[in-house]
Amino acid sequence: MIALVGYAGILLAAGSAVSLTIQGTRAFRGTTTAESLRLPAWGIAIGGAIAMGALELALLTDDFSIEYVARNHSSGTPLLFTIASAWAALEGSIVLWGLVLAGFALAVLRTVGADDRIGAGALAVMGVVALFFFGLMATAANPFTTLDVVPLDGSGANPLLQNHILMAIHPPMLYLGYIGLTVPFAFAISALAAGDGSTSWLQRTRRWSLIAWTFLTLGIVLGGWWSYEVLGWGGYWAWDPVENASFLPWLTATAFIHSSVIQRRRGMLQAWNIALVISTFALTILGTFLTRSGVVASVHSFTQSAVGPALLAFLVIVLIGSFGLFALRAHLVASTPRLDSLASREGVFLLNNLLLAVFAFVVLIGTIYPMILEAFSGDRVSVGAPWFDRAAIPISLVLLLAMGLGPLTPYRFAAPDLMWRRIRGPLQVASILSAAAVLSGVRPITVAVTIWIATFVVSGIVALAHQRARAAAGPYPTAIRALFRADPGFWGGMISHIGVALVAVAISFSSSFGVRATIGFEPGESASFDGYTLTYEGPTLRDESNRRAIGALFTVRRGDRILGTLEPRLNQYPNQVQAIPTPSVRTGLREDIYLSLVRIESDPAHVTIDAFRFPLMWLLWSGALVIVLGGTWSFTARKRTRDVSSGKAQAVV
Amino acid sequence: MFRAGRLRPLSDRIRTITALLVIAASLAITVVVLATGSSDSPDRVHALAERLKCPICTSESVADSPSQVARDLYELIEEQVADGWTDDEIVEFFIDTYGEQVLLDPKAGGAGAVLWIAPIAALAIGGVVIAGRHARNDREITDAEKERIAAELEKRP
Repeated sequence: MIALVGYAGILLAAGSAVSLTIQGTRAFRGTTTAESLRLPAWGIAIGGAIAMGALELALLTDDFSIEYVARNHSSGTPLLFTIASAWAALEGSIVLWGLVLAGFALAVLRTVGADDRIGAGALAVMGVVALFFFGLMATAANPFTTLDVVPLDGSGANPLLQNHILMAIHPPMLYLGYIGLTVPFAFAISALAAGDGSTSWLQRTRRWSLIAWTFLTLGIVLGGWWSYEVLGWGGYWAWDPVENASFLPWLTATAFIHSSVIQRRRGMLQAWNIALVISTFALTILGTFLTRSGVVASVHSFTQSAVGPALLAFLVIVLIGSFGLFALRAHLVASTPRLDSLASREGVFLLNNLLLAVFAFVVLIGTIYPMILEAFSGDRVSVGAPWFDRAAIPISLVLLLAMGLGPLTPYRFAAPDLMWRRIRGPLQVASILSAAAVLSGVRPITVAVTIWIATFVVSGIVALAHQRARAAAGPYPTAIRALFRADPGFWGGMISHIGVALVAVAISFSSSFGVRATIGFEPGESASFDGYTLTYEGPTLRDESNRRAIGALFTVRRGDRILGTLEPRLNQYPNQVQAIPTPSVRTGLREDIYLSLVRIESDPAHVTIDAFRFPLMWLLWSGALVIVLGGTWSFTARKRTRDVSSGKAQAVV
Repeated sequence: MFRAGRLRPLSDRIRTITALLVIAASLAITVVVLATGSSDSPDRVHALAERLKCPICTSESVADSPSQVARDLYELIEEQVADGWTDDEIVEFFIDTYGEQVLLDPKAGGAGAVLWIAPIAALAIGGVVIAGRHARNDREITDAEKERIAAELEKRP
């Protein structure tokens, strides 16, 4: 019964998506009004909500006649993970995808006026995307397939999901980012189809792009945090294909939110912006393909389900359709090059876009080349951290430097003496601080260079805010607040830049000074680890409703001072042979102490642990939070920007 | 007060000189400390383990993977280093045992060539396109305009 209702929801949504596409196209042509889009847009949302609701109900009522429930749930699964199971496996994740897309379509609908042809066209594009995903649910990825023989109990939720709450939050955040990027894509396609070469689509989607970018950033950071807190290998980023899949659209979306600034202010890069927004959307589909098709594990496993080939086909259609349309309309969007000088804000923006695009290209090649090679020649090649790092580190450092120079560089032309007067203060701060860091023992040179550039970025932004606030009338704190409110897009960006600088420092520290040791203990035994003393107090055992947790209790001392206890665990889930390690982390101002249980024997309870020491990890997470806060500020505050070239204030929606 | 109109006020010149001195002194300290400081001998075992893929993992290295296979291989590398093997010999040993895909950083030749050429080509093409478009720019900024922009910027911080 539940399965039937859920499937009906999917069909309703798919049918409404067809209707939205048709009505959207008609409204785009002017043969009907946008009013007729209301019903189909709500139809997708209601259908998606019914499907999601039915799936949740089936999980909560232990309806094991539904295959998805039987495979991803058991009667012992705790409530929270039961709810999260609705999007933790392939079919359910596509339901969530469809529902979020429907939500975005409804939100876009609110901004579409009666004779708004571009808006109607954008909704038609979103209808096509919705049709694909709900069509997938109706066929290859049906979450409501029923079983002839109903099992008494299911096999339980994915152990990795159950092991940490973050795994329930991370995917929805990532989806909000991924799917939000559909909105600028849809408007770009609609504007292209209409032959509208103006910047109106950019202005209308600016806010959407920023919202999507912020959620995507948050999703990626939560993924890294989850990796650090749960996986027990001590790292947060491994250049794994699944991680790269989320990082790729982030890179192009970041390039886009920067390059759209110069199109809006200087009329440059019109065609480039459209290419970026199409690429970003295509990369989100590629990411879904990579993570959902099994192609990552092996190219040979991906044909087992029809989902992989369907996503691949959709990706090809998106690429051919979008770039084909782009080629047909290229003459309409070719902006006249108005770059006065490379030594200008525009020049720095170009550098930023060049590097972000090359960065994305490098990550793309490194991610898909092994799969392509294996599919076509059978040869196998691995591309891992050493290869990615070689490209990523220099690109990131130059990007960081551009990030420091950009906000201080005037538009159109930067006279050398003016530039010097603007950068000499920040340069002094950066030089003094990096010299102090080196004096206090910071090595190697890459870390020193990172500190130098990062301090330059931060002090440049602080100096800019300080000067502007001092020049303004009124008391200083009020002036600062007024400044941030006057141009939230710019200052939100500056806050994010500070966050990126902090993250860069934290990454360089953790990758240069991480220490790992594998240590064996008898009960009661102590061992020293990099200035700390670890004492193994004894084993712990906890039976929980969904798992059995075997732990080892450690006391951590530094000298005579007891810093606390850590209890790394191995969680044994009934549906998985391999135990899932849960590391235990003590976060300190200087560094994290991170213990991960490798092996524990029963009698006597001899344990082997991996002990790690990572400096400044809090800086990584708080820097990431600052990036997200900056993004949030940029789209939540009311927007008023000043047009530099004409000098007159203009309100931007 | 000033004979030449382009001369900056005295306070500004003092600031420039101070800035140059501070930056030069800091850089000098940095360079001297980095050059004379004792350089730790690099951890060969770890560096090698980071370049080699754990054979049963999707993308983790022997250094990073918590799996037992990776631990055993890490110990093997330790033994090989202790026995006086060179880096190349150890890497060749792993290639012979597990095939080329054990390298996380593929060799520049053969199947890995694309991975080395493509990024450099992308950067070069991007740079050429930007430079080319800028060169085709029909409207080069004039000195008068530069002066005007500079004067406009002087008025506000």
